[in-house]
Amino acid sequence: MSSFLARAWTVARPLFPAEAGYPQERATTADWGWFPSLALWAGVCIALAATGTQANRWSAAWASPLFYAAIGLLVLPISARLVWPTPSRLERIALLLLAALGLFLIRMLHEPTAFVDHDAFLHWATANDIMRSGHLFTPNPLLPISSVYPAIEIVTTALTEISGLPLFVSAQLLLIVIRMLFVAALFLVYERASGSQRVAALAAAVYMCVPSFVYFDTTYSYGSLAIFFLAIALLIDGRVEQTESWRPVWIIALPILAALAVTHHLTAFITALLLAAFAVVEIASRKSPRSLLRILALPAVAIVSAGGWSMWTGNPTENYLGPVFDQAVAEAARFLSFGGGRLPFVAEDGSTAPVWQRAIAIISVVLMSAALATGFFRALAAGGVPVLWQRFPGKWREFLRWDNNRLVVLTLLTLGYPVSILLRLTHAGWEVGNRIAPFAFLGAGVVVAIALITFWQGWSQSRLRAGIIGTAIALCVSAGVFSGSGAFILGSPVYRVAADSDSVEPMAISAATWTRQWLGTRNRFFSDRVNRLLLSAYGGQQVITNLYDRVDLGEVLFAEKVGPAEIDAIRQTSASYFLIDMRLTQQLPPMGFYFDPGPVYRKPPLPRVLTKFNGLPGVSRVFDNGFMSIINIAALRDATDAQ
Amino acid sequence: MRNDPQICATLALATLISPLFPEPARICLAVPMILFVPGFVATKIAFPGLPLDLERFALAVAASLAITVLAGFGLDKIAMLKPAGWSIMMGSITLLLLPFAGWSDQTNERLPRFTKRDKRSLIGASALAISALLLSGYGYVRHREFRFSELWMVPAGGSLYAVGFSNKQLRPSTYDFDVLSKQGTIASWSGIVLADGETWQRVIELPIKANFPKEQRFIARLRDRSDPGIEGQKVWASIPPAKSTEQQLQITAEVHQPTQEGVR
Repeated sequence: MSSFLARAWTVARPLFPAEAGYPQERATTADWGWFPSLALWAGVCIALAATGTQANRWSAAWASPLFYAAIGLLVLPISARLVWPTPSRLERIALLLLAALGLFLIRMLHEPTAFVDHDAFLHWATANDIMRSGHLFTPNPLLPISSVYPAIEIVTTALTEISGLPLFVSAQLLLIVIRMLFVAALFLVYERASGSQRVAALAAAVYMCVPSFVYFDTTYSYGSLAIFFLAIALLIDGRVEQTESWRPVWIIALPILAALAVTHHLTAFITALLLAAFAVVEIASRKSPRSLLRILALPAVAIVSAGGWSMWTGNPTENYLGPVFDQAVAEAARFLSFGGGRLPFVAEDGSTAPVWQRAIAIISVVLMSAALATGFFRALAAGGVPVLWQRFPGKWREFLRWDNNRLVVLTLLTLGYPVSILLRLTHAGWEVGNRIAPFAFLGAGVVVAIALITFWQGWSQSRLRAGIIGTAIALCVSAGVFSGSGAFILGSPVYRVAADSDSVEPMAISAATWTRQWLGTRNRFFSDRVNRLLLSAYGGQQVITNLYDRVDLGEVLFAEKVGPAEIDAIRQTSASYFLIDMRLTQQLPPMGFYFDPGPVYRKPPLPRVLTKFNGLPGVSRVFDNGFMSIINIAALRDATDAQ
Repeated sequence: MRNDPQICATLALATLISPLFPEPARICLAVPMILFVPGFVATKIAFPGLPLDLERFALAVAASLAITVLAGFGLDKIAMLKPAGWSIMMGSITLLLLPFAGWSDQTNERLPRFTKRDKRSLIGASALAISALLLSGYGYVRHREFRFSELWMVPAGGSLYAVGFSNKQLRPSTYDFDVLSKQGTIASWSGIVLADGETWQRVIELPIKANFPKEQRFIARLRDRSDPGIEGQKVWASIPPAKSTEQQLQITAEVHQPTQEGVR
């Protein structure tokens, strides 16, 4: 027994630091260092990624490895350079911005001329409503909650209205600015929390491993603006602490927190919680020279604005996110009790990720876990918590002493990382896990950076060791890209059924545009998951969704025949047109559903099911392109004798 | 910088009258006025006299975006969420904030100069990135998996129907087109040659019988001669039996005049 304890003690030894500090950087002069050379290298990597993207359109087998290799090759030398103790602060910032810009441009290769991502269409529809009606809050059936959190649409429509630029260009311009400044703000937050520009730069580089960093968080979506506001809120919190003046609170913090409250529900609440946690930890440390009022001012503003807006708009967040979280927690509990979960890397249609992607994804989790394990107590120690090896305090109360409130809170935030991994192994929790990751990584970034600098690289000047660390970060960033976006960032060379951006192609866009020209706008339309996005954005139609109308017309479309129940559902939704895409009969959707998230389909519908309306009196087919047709069901809907 | 207040004031004043400017000038005004200037002035109130460093630059952009968002709510309240409303609002906010800002002669930290070699690297990097984006954009626009023809038949008022078709086959095609009822052919056209992207359309009158006790169905058929193996496309107008006359009235009420020009 004692030998077991001794062995366990030996294993646990590397997890704890011997001292609280970490090696400081040695830069003397501010210069650009390797930035210009690495910028050229980044240009080469972006060109390689573009070649991969184009080759993918020709279905070349090497396209996908080349594309992801380009991402890794872009990040590798930058992160290796950031590990070194010699680069100046200026060079570190420039390299971080270079990585952020490079990854953003690689992401833009995916939608270079128009929106193609599912979530971008949701917000494009809200922006279109604002520009068409000249008012906010027009209900958006695709994502009802987006019309009450319209900040990103307000900014892009303002840019478009004053400049005359297309909305797509305004959106990309905004996204590129907030992406660059998000990384800059993250660096500044980490720098203030850790007291080291080397730790800060590396932490911001590690943050790029978030599965949603490259793809989802740069989509034209409310979350992309909100995560920027979150980083700025953390930055202001640190700034406010250093000044006696109330001006920064009223002039800068208040408008930003108010804007965040109307930007994105979840991020606004998490920001409020984070600021509250900073305040609680600061009060608990009993070392703060600040008055209680000053400590609580920012979290109070954040809580009141986020909660107040949610309540004023009828608490849509609870209805929208509540069931998602409930299901996620239930399924995670079932998974933990060996009740089954989601098979990683396998889509609902049975398709699997390539072996090399699975291997890299698993390796990245292992690497991240190893770095977190070796960094957790070191980060706490750097924050002033007495967790040094063989120097533990005798009483537990003595652990409740720290100097650096922010570093302690950020370190504790890393506990969200295993939760996000666990949730990603469940069906219902996959999306929640993906959403949690950007917040958990706020802590993971700095903890991993401290682990890399104090344990893995340490005082060593070895370029080989730095290169290995750079390779590990590059692997994690690449793994984050394909585990967070699946194959969507590269796109499929061929059309896929109900597969979001992989289903957006010129024929479907042309059909949606046709409806605007020949049927007018604001008609009540029903169609599958992707065609309804196009009908709303390109056609200006009022689409019917289960989320908004609370009636599942998908069951009507896939019903064997049109009976009283089907006609009743059509009447309830006042549907006038169905856009029927016969390609739905060819495949199962990768996410399992053709319409709204719900029951997973195991067989595609039979063609006769979709053509059942053809013989019905009063149902006219107004459009056909050989693959898709539009039928007018208004007469059927309004018939008094319809059975 | 010493000229900062003047530059901000000039931009704000120009924004007030920006709807009068040509588009390139409006772009040059809109980008700084939405993304930076109001927030920059706000940071000069919050941190008077301090130079613009990375932190204050980030705060300025964030504050600008926040001000734009809150201004949007204000414009919504007064029903001015339009180009003129935006120009007046953003220009006015900046002008209102300007008198409270604290400016100083303290210059911003100068960045080190790039060497010639550095400049060459950066120009090369930019050229590569821009070329990559252009290549991707070109590839995206050219990538068309499906070749198709669009056929339609929509009510154009009373018994008039607009019929038409577009060639999206990526090559010229020759079409045969006819409109049929149970009684026979109503209209027929053959050998219509359309280049890729071209459209053919007509307005025809269908012989719809009033108070007819059975469904009346009129079918428009399109055949592409270059694809003889492929069954033609069909669209149709179904007029329900007369016992549902009220429905027909409702159908007529739903008629939308086509907005595409050239309908005869």
